[in-house]
Amino acid sequence: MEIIKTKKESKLVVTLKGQLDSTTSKELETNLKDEIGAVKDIEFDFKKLDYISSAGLRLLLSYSKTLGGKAHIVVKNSNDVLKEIFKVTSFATFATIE
Amino acid sequence: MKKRTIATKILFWVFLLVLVVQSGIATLGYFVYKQANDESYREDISSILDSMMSVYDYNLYDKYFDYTIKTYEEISPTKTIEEMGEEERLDYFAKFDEIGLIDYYGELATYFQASQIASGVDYFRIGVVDKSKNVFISSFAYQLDTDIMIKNVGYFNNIPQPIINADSNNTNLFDGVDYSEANENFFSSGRRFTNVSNYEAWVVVDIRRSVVDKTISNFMSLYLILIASFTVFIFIALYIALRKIAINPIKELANKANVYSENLKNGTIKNVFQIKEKHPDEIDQLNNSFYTLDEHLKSYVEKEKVLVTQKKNIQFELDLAKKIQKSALPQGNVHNNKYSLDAMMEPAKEVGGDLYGFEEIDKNKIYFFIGDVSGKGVPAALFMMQAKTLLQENLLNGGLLKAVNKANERLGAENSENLFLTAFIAVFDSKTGLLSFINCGHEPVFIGRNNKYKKLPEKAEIPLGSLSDYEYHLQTYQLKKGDRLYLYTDGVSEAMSKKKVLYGKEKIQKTLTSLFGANNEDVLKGMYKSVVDYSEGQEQADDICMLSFTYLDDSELILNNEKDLSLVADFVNKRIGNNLKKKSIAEIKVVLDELLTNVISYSEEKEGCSLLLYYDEEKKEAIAIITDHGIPFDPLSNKTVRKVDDIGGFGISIVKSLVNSISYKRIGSSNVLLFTKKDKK
Repeated sequence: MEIIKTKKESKLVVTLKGQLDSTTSKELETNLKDEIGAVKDIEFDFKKLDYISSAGLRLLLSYSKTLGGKAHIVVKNSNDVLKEIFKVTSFATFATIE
Repeated sequence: MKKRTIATKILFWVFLLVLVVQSGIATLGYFVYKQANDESYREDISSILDSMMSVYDYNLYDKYFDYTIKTYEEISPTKTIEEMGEEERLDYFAKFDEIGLIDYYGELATYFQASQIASGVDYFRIGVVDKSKNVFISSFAYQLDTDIMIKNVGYFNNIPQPIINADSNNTNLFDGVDYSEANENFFSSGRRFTNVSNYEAWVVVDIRRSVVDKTISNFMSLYLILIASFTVFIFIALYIALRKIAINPIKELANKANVYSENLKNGTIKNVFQIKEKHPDEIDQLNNSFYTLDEHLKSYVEKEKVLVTQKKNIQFELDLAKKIQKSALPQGNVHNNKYSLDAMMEPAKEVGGDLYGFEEIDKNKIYFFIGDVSGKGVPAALFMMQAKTLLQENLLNGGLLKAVNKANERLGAENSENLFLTAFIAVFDSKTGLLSFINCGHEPVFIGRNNKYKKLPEKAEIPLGSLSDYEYHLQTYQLKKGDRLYLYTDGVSEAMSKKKVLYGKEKIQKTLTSLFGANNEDVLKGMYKSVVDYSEGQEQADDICMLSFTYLDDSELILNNEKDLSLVADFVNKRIGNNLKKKSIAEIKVVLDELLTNVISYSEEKEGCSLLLYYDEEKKEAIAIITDHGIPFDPLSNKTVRKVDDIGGFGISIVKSLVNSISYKRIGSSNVLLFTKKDKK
């Protein structure tokens, strides 16, 4: 998985490529560990993300809780697979899906 | 049950019989004796009367007679003595005294007394009767036992009935007649002395009936005592005789028979009966029959003992043969990275003719076969061992067709009993995936592919050994990786339910399909269990032999730990990446990630699991099978209620929403999860 991070003031933009599953979500967790405490908002660009599993969702949920809820976490450019999974899990409760 | 001896029974009947006979004799005896006794008394009385009549002083009597009549006529009483008052009666008596009658009585009394004492009779009566009025005018009696002279003169009514009835022309008034007077029974005879006009004089001798009968009762007592003694004697004699002749010999025989049956039970052979040849009666004949029976049984038991020993030896050898036979079949299984194979054989009670074999010929090739010799027992077993050896040797040294033809030639030539072997013989080349095989009249083989089993397309030829110069034909079938083969003998297809319905090929196909995804060992165990359950506890009639083969390949991904999860995405791309739309592939990956994470983290064994992935061209769907050997665990049964705080619980809902079908099965020691996924239209 490829992780590209861009920091805009207090906002962290993360672009992911590949898949966010049980293996890669650990990778991402380790990678973002230091930044999360230092930002207010986070934005995920999933344009190049193929799919996400519940392991990935769990990670996103933990960020949502850490940052203070839905308003602070944005998910962009989700494909159909992702959209369906977000729908099934009602993920819109925890993140702003654009 | 109350016991009754034969003696009791016989004696009871004898008693009844004797009682009846003796009663008859006693009754008869009584009447005969009574008659004789009465006659003898009658004669006695008659002779007393006759002698009295002969020695009688007729002058004296005539005087008495005249006086009496004269006095009676003078007085001519109008009342009987009983009717007279006291004074009247005394006056009446006095008149008789006047005429001197009383003196006369005294004279007569002395005479009577003497006669009476001499004869032992009870009464003498002498009397005068006025026949015109049927009354006494004088009566005179002497009673011996009281020594009283009863004198009656006058007018009486109670003339004894025999006198009234008597014929007046006959001197013998009556002779040996029974009559009653004043409540006493008498046995009497009477004589008439004389008669003048309407007056009669007579003398009567009475003996009390009880005196006469006393002789009879004395006799009868004696007689009964005699009879009783005689009966008792007969009884004792009969009992002794019965004991000696029948009861004791029967008892003896019964005891011997008991001893004999005990001996038989304990297996002791001993002579209990002795033959009796001297004048044998029925019991002796019975004894002799027993003796003969004993002789026959003895020789039978001897023979039986030998037979049992022989049978034991034979059974022991047969069991040994069964063990040797089973151990001659290759044990264990084959498992490498290209294919795996497992076989089992459950012999029926006796040695039989089912067989299987497998062996790796070289790095890539393996042969395997399954077969069934016609018939059962030792001939089938011998033929089976020969066939097995021939097939094994020839299959290792030369091609399949050559090997089968050679084995057939030998089996057909050296086969006096016309036995034959049905067999499915195959060689698998893992390099090409080609299965070469020959079906020598055997049951069809099932091939498992895409989550179900079907019959392998093939053509059966004649059984091995049936025609030694027959040329077999080689058949081939291209196996795909992940294909399975199931070979069996008729112990499976012809297993019978209690209702005599065969297990059948349809049920084999159905059961196999339900076992799809399990490893070879679990397929065999599952099939065996199904057959045994089907037979409902009946004894296994035929050998059950089966073999399961799996063509392994990269359709199976083995995941040992969480790290291996990273291999899943590539595996999916490689297996079915081109078969479904990108979106479906991505969704399959999500589902697999959910399920495999679950299995690997929950499986206690931590043995990992295997993933199979196919694409079914016909249905245009992907099939994924996840198998692990951990404790039974059905992830689908977990609660799938979404909890806002627990995204982990989302896993199963994600899975269920993304797949077309999903199921969980526990097969043997395996958890098998299977799901299918199609493109959305």
